[in-house]
Amino acid sequence: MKRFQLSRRAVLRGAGGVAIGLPFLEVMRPLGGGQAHAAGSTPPKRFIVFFSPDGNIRENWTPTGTETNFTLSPILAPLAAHQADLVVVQGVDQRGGGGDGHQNGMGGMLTGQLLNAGPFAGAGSAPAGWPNGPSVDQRVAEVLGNDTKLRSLELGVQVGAADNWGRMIYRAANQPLPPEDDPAQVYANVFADLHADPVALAALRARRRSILDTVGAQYARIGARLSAADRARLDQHLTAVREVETRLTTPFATATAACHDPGPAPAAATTNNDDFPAIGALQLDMLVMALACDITRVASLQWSRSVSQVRFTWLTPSIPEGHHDLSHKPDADADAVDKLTRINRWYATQLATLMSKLAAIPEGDGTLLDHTLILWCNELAIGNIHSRIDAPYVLGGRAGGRLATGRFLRYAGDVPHNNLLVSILNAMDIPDQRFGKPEWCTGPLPGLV
Amino acid sequence: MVRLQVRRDARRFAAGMPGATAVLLFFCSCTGAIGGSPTEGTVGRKDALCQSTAPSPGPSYIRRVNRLEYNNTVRDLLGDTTQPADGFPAEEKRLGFDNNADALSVSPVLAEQYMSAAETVATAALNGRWAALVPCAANTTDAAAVDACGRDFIAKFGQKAYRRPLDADDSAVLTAVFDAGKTTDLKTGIRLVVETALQSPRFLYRVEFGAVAASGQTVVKVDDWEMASRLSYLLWHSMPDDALFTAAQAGQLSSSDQIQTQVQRMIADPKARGVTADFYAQWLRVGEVASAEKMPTVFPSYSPAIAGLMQQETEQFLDDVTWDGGGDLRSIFTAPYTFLNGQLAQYYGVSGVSGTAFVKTALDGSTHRGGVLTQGGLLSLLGKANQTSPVHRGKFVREQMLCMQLPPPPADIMIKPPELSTTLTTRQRFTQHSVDPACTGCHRLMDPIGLGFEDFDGAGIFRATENGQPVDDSGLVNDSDITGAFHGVGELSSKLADSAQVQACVSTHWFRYGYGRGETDADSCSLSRIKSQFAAGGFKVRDLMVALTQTDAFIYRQVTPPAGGP
Repeated sequence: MKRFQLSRRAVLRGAGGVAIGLPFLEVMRPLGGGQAHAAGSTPPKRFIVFFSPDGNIRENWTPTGTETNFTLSPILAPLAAHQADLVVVQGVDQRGGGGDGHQNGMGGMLTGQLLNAGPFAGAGSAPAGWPNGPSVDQRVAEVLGNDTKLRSLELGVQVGAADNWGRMIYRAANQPLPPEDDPAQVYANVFADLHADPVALAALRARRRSILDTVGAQYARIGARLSAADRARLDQHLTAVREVETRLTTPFATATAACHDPGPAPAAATTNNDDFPAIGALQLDMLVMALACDITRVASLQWSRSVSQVRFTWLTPSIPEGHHDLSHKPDADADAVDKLTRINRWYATQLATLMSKLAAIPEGDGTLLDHTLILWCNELAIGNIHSRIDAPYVLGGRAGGRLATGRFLRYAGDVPHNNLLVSILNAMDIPDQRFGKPEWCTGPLPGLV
Repeated sequence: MVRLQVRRDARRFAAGMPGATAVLLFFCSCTGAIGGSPTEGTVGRKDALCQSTAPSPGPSYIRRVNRLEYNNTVRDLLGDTTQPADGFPAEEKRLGFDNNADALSVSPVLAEQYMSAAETVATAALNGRWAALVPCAANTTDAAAVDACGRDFIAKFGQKAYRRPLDADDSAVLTAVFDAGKTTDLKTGIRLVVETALQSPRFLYRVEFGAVAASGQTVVKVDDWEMASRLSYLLWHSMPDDALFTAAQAGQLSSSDQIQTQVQRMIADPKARGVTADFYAQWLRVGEVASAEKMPTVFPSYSPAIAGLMQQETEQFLDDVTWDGGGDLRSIFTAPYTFLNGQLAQYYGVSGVSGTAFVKTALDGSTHRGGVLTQGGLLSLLGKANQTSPVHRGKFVREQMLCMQLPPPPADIMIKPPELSTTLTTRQRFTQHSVDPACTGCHRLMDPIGLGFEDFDGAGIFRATENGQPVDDSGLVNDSDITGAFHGVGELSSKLADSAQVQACVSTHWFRYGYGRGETDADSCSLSRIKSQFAAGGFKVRDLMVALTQTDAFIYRQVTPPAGGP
């Protein structure tokens, strides 16, 4: 339900028959305060993708025990405090193809699709482009993202270049959504509402809508005079403009007990290797608060990128080698196995931090974590052979009660990860029975949701 | 056995297909020779034939301004020097450059940033430079005066922002915006006009329709306003200046002479230096030098500060050599000087330089340096964090200088770089590549070149020994027009400077960079002309830039049927 609307939308007919939406500076009825979901009603569901790169060490990742009585592995041990909120999923194969192992994993991980041909030449494969469909979070955003300021929020930590090793979120086929690597930018873009006067904010939004409406009409008009190829370029721009315009009709965030201004990031993000944890911590804070304020219900946090060469110099003992270089050491290299285990354990620690922060925010009759579903994924299962068979998936949070947690699920045989993605949609109350490439998907994973 | 080839880069494109991405259609491994003779360019036809045939411009796509162009354009339009586009998402590189029309897509994030940048830029400009921009006082309240001021502003500002006179629709849109805003006050009306204009496709894209085509005509000249923008974005990465606008207004940008008069003026402007700097930042990857990281345990004297200085050294060198020095390709590869300050000179072990300012420093034989490839910046960028990398150094020469696209390593092998050693030299460790048949096919094209760089360690310092053994700097270039042995980077640089293949390669890079697209079969005469003009003046970069303004691809455009209404 929309909490407010433009009270009227006069149309000015200008010279040359150009229609312009008004009101420019008309002050709309401001919000009475509170979040988009009224107190006492059921809190909305949230979905988070949490990505870490370069594969895993299977024997140190896999828990032991039974479905409901299991012991976390060395890598997953930092999640012990949240074991009752986890579902560890083993035996699912991450499908993908069209490029090299990292590209296929990165592009297929959340889309369940092949990569189209494109400009990025990988190792041992034809040059590949972007995947042939949207990522699962964007399907969720299609349903959950319409009532919030942001349809979805993509955050990164030193992700960098715009290629298919570095993009995992896709609005649609061939449409990567870039993550924002700079917490200061995130703060400026996402939380501006929290320190603005509501009346002035309403006026600003009305003015922006009018201008975007005007601008959009120009894209359509000029596009019609261009060749089909150029028209497609402007159409894409027009779609983006319309989406921004739509966002401006959603309720804006106001501070509540749970939602507060996270405070500006101390400095712009850098690409310095050793700033990786500090930037990550800032992005985690921004992510949690964006959900708590109901600025978005769909978010992702992408740590680095596939083929990540982050050097985990801050661990004890320090790891001076690049992550990807280490990931290609043979299984018998005990030193590399130890280091990779500690790297993946560090990422598990970050996930535990995220879960703790979500669990600390009361919401409805539980916490924000209870209404959230987190998917922790990796573009590879095993780094040194680029395997994506039996990929390491962890789900966290209860998705508003749809997900029975505190479980370790093992699947055997040929289980495409498309089925896991379908189950995720189902947990988010989206009753789809297929996702991604149709030939790969046979329906939801049995016993998960 | 299949005869496998390395082909010259990007010979074939999915050209002109609606909505299609230009994709390299070949894929191969390398156990054989290069396709075609090494000196053969992508051009089959002779110049004479080109002159007698009808203009063949190749495709021209609508181009969105990239971040650099946006920053420059708001600087020249509104005096805004804050570089507001620096926070926009990075462009995806295509064919090596970040200005390829195919890759400049727009996400909602970018659309939102265009919106907020337009607001910030408009507000700052009107607060700070009202008198320079608006033809009346900011406190004007008389209704008729406000209207007159608004219409005057729209016509003049609109023409500059859209880089051509407004058509009736453009004008109506901006007038309606102004009229809505003026109900608050004049300033609001003007500000909304600027905000709207800065988000318009007329501003963010270089929209071209060409001169009016006669029936049956398939190729037309671009009109004079379009030519003004083609020239200014090619030679300045920014909007036209007043002189170009005046020439366009007067219909004086049509003939070859008229265009050349402007080109000569423009290329003497300091803004042209920004274009070569951006080209080198991408072609030679100079823009990445400062962010190369090294392990302090292996390279204790290297630091982010040194990396920054090395980038500055190479940037200054290239700027000087291009515009103040010889200006030719040979100078880039071999000029016996560089730019150093005290800290960087000490890092290299060059004596006689002190202070923080960079000074032009002559290089004698004792420095073992001369030319861009011998500078610490590229040497360290193309090294690993803890060692040199003959593979990356060789690959860089092979791809960026010789324009050969190397295929990726074969699938399903475990790639194990040679283990570090405290006794063996890098050359000894890399012998595997020349023994293992799975590797030799391609690595024979890279490693023998890269091993000739072994005089310099992974952080760009000269070394005579490695692990107690003397360094062997012998290298070999095969499968090229400069096939043969060499010793050290200096000798390699000299060979590259004389290579017709390198000269053709540089022309091709400039074509892609200057026109924001890959070359197609239809461009063969344009490319041929660029190459011969480059050669005629002794391979001067400035001639190459001028040549880019004299081709069919630049002067003409194809007539494309409109796609129709939404």
